[in-house]
Amino acid sequence: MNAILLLPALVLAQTQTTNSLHTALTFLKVSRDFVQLKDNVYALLPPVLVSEGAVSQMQWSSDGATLAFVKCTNPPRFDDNLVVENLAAVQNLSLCEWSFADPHVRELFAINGRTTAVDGMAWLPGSDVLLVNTQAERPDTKSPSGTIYRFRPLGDPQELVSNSESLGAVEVSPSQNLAIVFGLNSEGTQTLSLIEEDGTKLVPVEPLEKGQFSEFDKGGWPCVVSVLRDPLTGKRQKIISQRIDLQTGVFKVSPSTLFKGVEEPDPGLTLSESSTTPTNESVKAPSVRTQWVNGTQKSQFPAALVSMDTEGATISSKGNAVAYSSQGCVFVRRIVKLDPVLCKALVEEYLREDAVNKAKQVALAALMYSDDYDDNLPNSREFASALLPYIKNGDLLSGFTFSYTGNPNLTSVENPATTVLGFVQTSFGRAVSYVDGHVKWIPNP
Amino acid sequence: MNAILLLPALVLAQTQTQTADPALSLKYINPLKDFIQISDKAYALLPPTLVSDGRPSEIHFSSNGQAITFLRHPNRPAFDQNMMVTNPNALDSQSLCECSLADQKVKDLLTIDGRTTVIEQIEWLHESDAFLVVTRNTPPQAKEPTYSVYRLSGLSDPQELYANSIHPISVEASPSKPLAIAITSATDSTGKVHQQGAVIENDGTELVPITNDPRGLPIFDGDGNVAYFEGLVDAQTKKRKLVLHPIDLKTGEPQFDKLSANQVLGVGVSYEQLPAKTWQSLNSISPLPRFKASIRSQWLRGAVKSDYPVALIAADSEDSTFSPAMNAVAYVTQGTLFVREMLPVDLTVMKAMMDVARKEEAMSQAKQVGVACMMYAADYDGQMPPLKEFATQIDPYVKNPDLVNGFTYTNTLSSIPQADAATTIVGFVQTGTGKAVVYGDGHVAWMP
Repeated sequence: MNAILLLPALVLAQTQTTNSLHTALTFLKVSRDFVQLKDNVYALLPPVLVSEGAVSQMQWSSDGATLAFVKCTNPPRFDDNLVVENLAAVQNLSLCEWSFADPHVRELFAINGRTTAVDGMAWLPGSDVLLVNTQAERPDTKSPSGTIYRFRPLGDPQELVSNSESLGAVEVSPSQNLAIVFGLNSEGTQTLSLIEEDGTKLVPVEPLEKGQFSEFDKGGWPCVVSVLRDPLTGKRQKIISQRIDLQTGVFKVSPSTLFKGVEEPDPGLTLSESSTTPTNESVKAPSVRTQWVNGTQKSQFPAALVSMDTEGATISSKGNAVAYSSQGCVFVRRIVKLDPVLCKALVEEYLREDAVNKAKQVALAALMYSDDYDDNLPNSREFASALLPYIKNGDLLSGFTFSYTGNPNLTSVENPATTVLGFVQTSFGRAVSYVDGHVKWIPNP
Repeated sequence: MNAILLLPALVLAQTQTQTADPALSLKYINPLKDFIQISDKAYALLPPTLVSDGRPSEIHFSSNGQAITFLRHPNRPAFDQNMMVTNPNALDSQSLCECSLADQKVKDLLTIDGRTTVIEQIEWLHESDAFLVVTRNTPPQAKEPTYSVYRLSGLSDPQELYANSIHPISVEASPSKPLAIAITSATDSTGKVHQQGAVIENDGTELVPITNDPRGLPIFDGDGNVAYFEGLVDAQTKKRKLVLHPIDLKTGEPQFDKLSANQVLGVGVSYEQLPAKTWQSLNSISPLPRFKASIRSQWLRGAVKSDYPVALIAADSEDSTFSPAMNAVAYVTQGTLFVREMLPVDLTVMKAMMDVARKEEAMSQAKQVGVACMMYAADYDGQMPPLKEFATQIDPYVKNPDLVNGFTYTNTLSSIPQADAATTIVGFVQTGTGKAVVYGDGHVAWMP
């Protein structure tokens, strides 16, 4: 039913223009959605709901455009004792994908949660290939067995390793389209194999010696590293590096790329977590986990609030999107770099509104005070303590300068609309309250 | 693409019998946040279900809590590269929606131009699927607003009960009968403005105007029936008293010769009388000492004192409301409307689940601090963190520094010998029912 014709207001031509800056501010809160990294300010856009259903294992693709996650396909139902009734249904898990370009949840893969657990998921950098390793119980031996699947968009999943009892973790290169698969052989020593972006097979790597392990070098290529103790200082050092040949899996010495420790990447936007009790009243209140995006500590906006009461969050490696799960639902927020000119305008607009609002409330409190005290204004020295009972939030008084020095009796003020009561100062102007209660914004000359 | 057949685990016959596992419920309910005790009964706030996005406002539950109405913006904001909203006009259009909790489908009932029309009031009729909407219209060329009242019920077309009245209108639903009173003003033949009441019945599509009488006003009596009240001065005590007279619903005539059966004043659906209510707290939270963000959290609080008087509906939520039937709460967070059903549970079940949750929390905390100790030892050639500066030394190794609070570090050895690692106690987290103990090899055990 569309009752659009019933309301006369809609017949009006839609010709009014709206102040775009102001509209932007209704969606962005400067005080909590902005974060500064070095000289740039970033904004967290309003969240978009991706999915309900107890989501876990969120992973961003390396370009931050697609999110992969695992969810329960059915919401839980509870009996009177709060025991889940539809156990079979909530254990039907589903591997899903969602992207900004096509914001719908696509189910890639059904997983039986009673027998199979998703151990890890990772996107190969710079590609649309997703690797998933699962752990399941073998029906015959009851021992755990791991399987690695390789997904491409719209293609069937490929099994790279199936039902291996010796499968360990999968580690993705930070910059190249390949991954290392860790495993154990029958003697209990570590084995390695490689997965390339376009490869559908594993390339086994020649066995490592004791004390050797593998790592990705600065260029993102797999290499073999040994840790040795320096005989003189006794300190441990990673010293030898050999690149692993991608075709054959053998080590080859490549002195030109000699590994000298991992270079610390530029610190980008990072996630942090804090515990918060979201009330200041003295009730037995629980604490919740809060996620932040951190930028440069000593800046105007050192951190932006992602969400409170979350179970987890993940930021894309490019720092352009953050995903979080709250009360079982997964949301994403895009992170955009703000134009410096626009950012300044938004911040000024916000500070101006904040100052005007503050000045208005203090002026109102002063009028309420004078109502109660035979039209007398408080003494400027005791101003803050006198107005405290008349104001909702005591913090409002801290930034307000009371400048009125005339006769405290309001009836003696000749022109209340032009007599200044006080002001809130900001770096680019001040919000001035007048004795009659109105407030005016006066920009810096 | 459905790859259901490819996964060997699924090929397994699904014959395993499922025993209900209470621990699984902990995955969905956080006993430390989601329980509330209201007098001698406990309620669990179940996980939220999404109702609608589009920054909903004006949220109202029906009297049986089975349906919810709200206003939303049907169009999403679109941002350009400079974070400017590119479709501000689209945001002005709002729609009045209804969602039944049973089928979770949102129906758009009415489209509203937000620039000229304001929804003044939404009032559900008691035990009915009908509700009344009061709108205020201010077309650009008009100086004064006009008021209209619509009655909406299920999927039928909205009925206009009042159209474009120049006088403000307010409606009040009866607390226990499916009818409502509308109070407005009218100009009589002499040009005088007086108050005018009318009765709206549940199945009625017409108004029954109540004959105006200078002696009083229409109101509800304690039975929820429409009555006419008259202020009298008692001849003996000289005190004022209220007398309620019945109204003939066919003619709208107050019957001053009769008295209503119930002489107590009936109040509208009053959230004050419910055994619990929602409240919000505004608080500053900060990840860094200098930085603060101001957040509103929504809570449910029982009216009577109890051991567990509050439950967290949602942290960081602008608005919440509570079903008068005590079966659900609704809240808006970051522009999205969610509903959480409330399930009455036994107090003992609640307490048992809380104990399990506290134990799990302590175990997880102990495990993380244990791992941090092992990482510390790995970096310092097997040295354990010193007892004195434990908190500052371990800080770089824990994700959340708050984890160290509540952990008692008891280890005095500078390094733990390999042979005794599994039996040497490093520290513990204490709860009401026991403690989670961390050992030198990083493993954690529960000691009741």
